[in-house]
Amino acid sequence: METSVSTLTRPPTAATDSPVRRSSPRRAGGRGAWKGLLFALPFLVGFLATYVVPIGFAFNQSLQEKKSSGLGFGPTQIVYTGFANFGSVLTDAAFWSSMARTLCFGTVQIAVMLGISLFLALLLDGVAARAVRFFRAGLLVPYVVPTVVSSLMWLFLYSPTGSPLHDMLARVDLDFDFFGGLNTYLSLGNLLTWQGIGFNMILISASLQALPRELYEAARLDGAREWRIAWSVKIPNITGILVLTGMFSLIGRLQLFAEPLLLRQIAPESINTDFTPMMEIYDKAFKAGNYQYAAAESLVLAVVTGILAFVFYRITNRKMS
Amino acid sequence: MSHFRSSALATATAASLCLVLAACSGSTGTGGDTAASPSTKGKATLEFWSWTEGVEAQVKVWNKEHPETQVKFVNAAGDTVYQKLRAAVNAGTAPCLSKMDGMNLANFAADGLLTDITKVAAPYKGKYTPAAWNAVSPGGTTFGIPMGSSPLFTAYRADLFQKYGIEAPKTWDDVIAAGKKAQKENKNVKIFNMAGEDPSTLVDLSWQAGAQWYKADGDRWVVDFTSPEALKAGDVVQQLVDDNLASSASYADPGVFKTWDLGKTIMMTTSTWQLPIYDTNFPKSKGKWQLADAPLFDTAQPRTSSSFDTTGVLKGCKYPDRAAEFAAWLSSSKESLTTLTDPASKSGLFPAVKDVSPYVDKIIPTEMFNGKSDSAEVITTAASRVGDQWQYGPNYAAMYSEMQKQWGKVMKGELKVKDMLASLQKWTVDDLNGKGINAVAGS
Repeated sequence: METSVSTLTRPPTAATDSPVRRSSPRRAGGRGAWKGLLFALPFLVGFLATYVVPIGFAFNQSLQEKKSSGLGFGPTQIVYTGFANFGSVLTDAAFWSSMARTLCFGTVQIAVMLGISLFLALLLDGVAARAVRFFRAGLLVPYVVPTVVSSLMWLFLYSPTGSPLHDMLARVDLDFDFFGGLNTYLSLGNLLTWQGIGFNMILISASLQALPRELYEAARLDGAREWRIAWSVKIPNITGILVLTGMFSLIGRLQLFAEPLLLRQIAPESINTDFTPMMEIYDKAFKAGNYQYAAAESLVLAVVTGILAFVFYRITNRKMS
Repeated sequence: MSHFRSSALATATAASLCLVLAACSGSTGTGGDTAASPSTKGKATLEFWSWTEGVEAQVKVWNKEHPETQVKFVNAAGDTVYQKLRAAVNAGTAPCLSKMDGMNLANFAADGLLTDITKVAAPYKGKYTPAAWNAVSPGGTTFGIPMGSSPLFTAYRADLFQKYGIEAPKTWDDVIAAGKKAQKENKNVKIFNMAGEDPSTLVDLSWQAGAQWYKADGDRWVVDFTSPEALKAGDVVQQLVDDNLASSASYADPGVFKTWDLGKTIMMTTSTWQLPIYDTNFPKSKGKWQLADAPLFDTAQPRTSSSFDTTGVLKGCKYPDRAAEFAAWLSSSKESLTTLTDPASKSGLFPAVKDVSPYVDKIIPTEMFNGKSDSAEVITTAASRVGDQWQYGPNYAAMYSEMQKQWGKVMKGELKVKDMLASLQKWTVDDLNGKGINAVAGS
């Protein structure tokens, strides 16, 4: 569910695309610049307070370590240790394997999710407007349900002790384990796909609606059937939105947290505390109490996410042109 | 079903679990005589955070009797209480006292967030069991007053034990033998449960075996995850895994109680605070359970484990003497304990004082047991047997989180307990040394 809204409001690349530079008073010169700055002030204040300051704080923390002495019970000292934490993060096998796991899993899951969303959007594009409204609203419901609620709902269905599915299977002398090996990823992927289909479908569908209808007429005159129109006319014209939804989903996957954390309650053997980078960071900060190390991990994750988003955008953009 | 306690469950977004956790609280004590006259003078008001049911009423009783030392009760129930408490200490707005479990008391102490009350607390030491006093004195410095204890004992399905021809196990070897026998009779039956997220089973077993993962020795720690005692405990876990004798229901699973209620798992280790929960959660197996002493490693040296609930004195508290006095009254005076151990108070508290006999009878639920064993005696025995060697080290929380990571693999059979212990040994010593704390490997 982090898929979209949260990432829409904060793409990690924003930090490099500094709005401060744009509204630089020197360039515009004179009094007008001050006025401009005044207009930008509400944004700047918010940006500084909710972005720059917290990131600066995290960076400062990531350069520190907590030291004790003697038996270790008593006052502690915070000392600066340079980039020692970053050094440890870079060689932290658990951290990087959680990153790789999330990326591999995310790639497959996003492809499946967007494939279904695209298919549904194309179907909707072909039917009457009234039906469109109904299906659109219906498919959006899973997205509107808060993450925690929908995760808990699936948690009950997957639960090895409480699930009605297990009860039903047991009646015909069957059993199925929703976790362990590949099943863990299928179960989690199912939950994420269920949550994300509707939202992505809406975006794709809106993009389809915006296409000029004349294109289809022209294609029809050339003898194209509906599926051919979809494949050769519609899809090539909406690659922009596909790239965008793909990127948002990718960023969302790298920040995957609440869903696996909740599912861990019923599958602790399969979903470890370092299953995703965010879970690892959470564990380091709030379970192990090592805020400094967690801050370094967060910054590394932010940078990796930023780079991946940038690379993804570049590659897909080049392909399009 | 060892313990729901502890950070293992910080994820408890499930509301039902919050309720369960709320029951995991308590306070205890003996006392009544005010041996230590407070050394601070004048009127004082102390803030006290707790989330134990029934404590607020006790605070009112105290306030009526002690006009000089007024206590302001704050109900701090919630998943993030320890985070809030940390923030409050750093901001200088911390309460004087707060409820915390033994593990968190050690964590807070290690982070320098508590006040050393060794001197002012000394007069109350004699009221509590040595194991309870250990829990508030990590590294030998006292930072709080014990509140309650949760000594471990066994509950088993007497009807199914009879059906499968096994008896209540006296030792852990008996548990394994009984597990094998039961499985021969019915391949779907497990003798025990070990949750994949909760290595507290290993903590309890090691404690019972007499192991000392952390031992303060002068000004250094001797870290010993691989002593013969620790390995003995690890071996029991390994056998349960290898022979597939334990179920793996997660304690956070909303349907966890069914594991026992439906007779799939027929024995568990449990404790006082959990007893009231069973009456409501075991609808099918009500009246079929019986209590027994916890399985032992050495019948000549019977030892069980516990987890303690404490009242910590936070950094910046201006009246540590009165804080200690109040906390000791709350958890050791007959006046306070009689009320708090009454089921009507809903505190779920089991005292950490030396003599628990006046309070035992009341806490035993009536519907769960078949009445064939003396439950009160089992509980009293457990309380008297808690091993007093166990200590929490200054990086216990970080070590626990590391252990949790590996524990899942042990449960899956991907890692041997022995290897996990060896790696924890190295990890713990390195981590302590990295923090500037003297530590050596014990074996």
